[in-house]
Amino acid sequence: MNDRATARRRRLAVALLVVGLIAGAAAVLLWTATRSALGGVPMSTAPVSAPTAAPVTPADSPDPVASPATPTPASLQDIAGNPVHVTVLQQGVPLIDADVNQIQLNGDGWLSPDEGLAGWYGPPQWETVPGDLSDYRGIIVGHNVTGYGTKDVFYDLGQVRAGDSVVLTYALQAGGYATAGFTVTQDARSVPKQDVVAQAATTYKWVWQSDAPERALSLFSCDLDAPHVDGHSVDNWIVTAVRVS
Amino acid sequence: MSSDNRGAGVLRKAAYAAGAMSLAVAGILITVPGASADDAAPCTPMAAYDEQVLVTPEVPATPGTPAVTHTAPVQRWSWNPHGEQDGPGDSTPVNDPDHWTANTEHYKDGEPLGVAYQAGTPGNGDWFYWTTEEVVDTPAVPGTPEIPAVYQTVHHDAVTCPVTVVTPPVVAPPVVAPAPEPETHTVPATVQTDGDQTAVLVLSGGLGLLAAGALTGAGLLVRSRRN
Repeated sequence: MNDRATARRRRLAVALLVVGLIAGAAAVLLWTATRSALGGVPMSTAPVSAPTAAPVTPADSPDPVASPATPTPASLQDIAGNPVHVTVLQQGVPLIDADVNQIQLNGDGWLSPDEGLAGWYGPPQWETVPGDLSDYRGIIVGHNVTGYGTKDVFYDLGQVRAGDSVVLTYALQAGGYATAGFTVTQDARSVPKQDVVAQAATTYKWVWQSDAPERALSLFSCDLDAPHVDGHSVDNWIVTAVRVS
Repeated sequence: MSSDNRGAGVLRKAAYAAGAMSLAVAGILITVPGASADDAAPCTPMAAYDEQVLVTPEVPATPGTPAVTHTAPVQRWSWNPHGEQDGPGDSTPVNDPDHWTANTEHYKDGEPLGVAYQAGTPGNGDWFYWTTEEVVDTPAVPGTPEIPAVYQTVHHDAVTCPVTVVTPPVVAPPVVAPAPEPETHTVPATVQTDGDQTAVLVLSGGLGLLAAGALTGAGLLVRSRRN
């Protein structure tokens, strides 16, 4: 009897030990994921797909023979279209390559993009199309990590350096696609989330506005290395760029 | 034939010249501006009134002057009594021409005029009579009465000047292009670009607690076995 009972306790102890080790390992893994995301950065080649078979007719660079799948570089003028894809190139290598959708503030006034997509903060709440001449910058934001701790589309925004390239692809209102090129003006900067919005007209005006009408862009993400409060980083990565083509 | 053609040519040239002259005169008349309404004197308001306008000035009376005449002999007559009377008495050639015979028209100074007179031996002389006429040396100038001045009453209507309303020039306000609608740029409350990991953290904590519980249980089992 004692042997049988002893054997049962041993098996139970072993089972509890295994469960404890697995649960502990899982807990550590999940905790670690909140500080260092897992997996690879999701990338998608622009444009994802042609929404229509309409010929490429950029508003400012009509080229009726261009293929829908081959965005045409737009002239350095306002573009009658919406951004649908963003690519950040570092020495010609894509660092970020994500589809873009248009977003607005949520009920709490937060600007929070959809997971797996970069979000263009556009009209009516922010009436500047990235690349158009404006006193305000075009705003595109993206998650660095998902809620499950995996890397998201802007995971590497903090790696962007001055001189890197940003290419935006637009779905033109007239049909087709066009692209605009930007050059990053300074290394990615980590700024406090609270201050970047609270001091948007003063200290951090450079994030949101230009000193003179300009074709400028700001990219936002979260700084994963910054302290977290309530599950969120307290800092944003900011990358600014100006249109060059 | 040739002279006819030449004459027609001259007439044609004259007609052309007259036409050109007419055109020149017409051009001058058209070019010379007429008096415009702008030249009129400015209007002065005035009440109605009657004006006595002198038509004929007064002519003063002038005294007349009588004619200056003298009696001139015209015809001498000789008394022809036909033996009936001794003298003419009251007979004259005018009222008794049958007893008078025209004699001469040559007058000798001293012969009486308009009366019968006897020349020659008194008592035996012939009777003569010079008819006369009044010769006007200077015609009479009749006097003229005073002619009063003649006035005409001219009525002048009241002059009412049109009220000049000075309308200030309408200065059209400059067309100001409507200000473009200010673009909306709403700064978000925060840019939240990391996934909400609360669930992961809760799950991680739960697993941690599970691990701790399991390890604790395993430890208790091991200790009880040793005992």
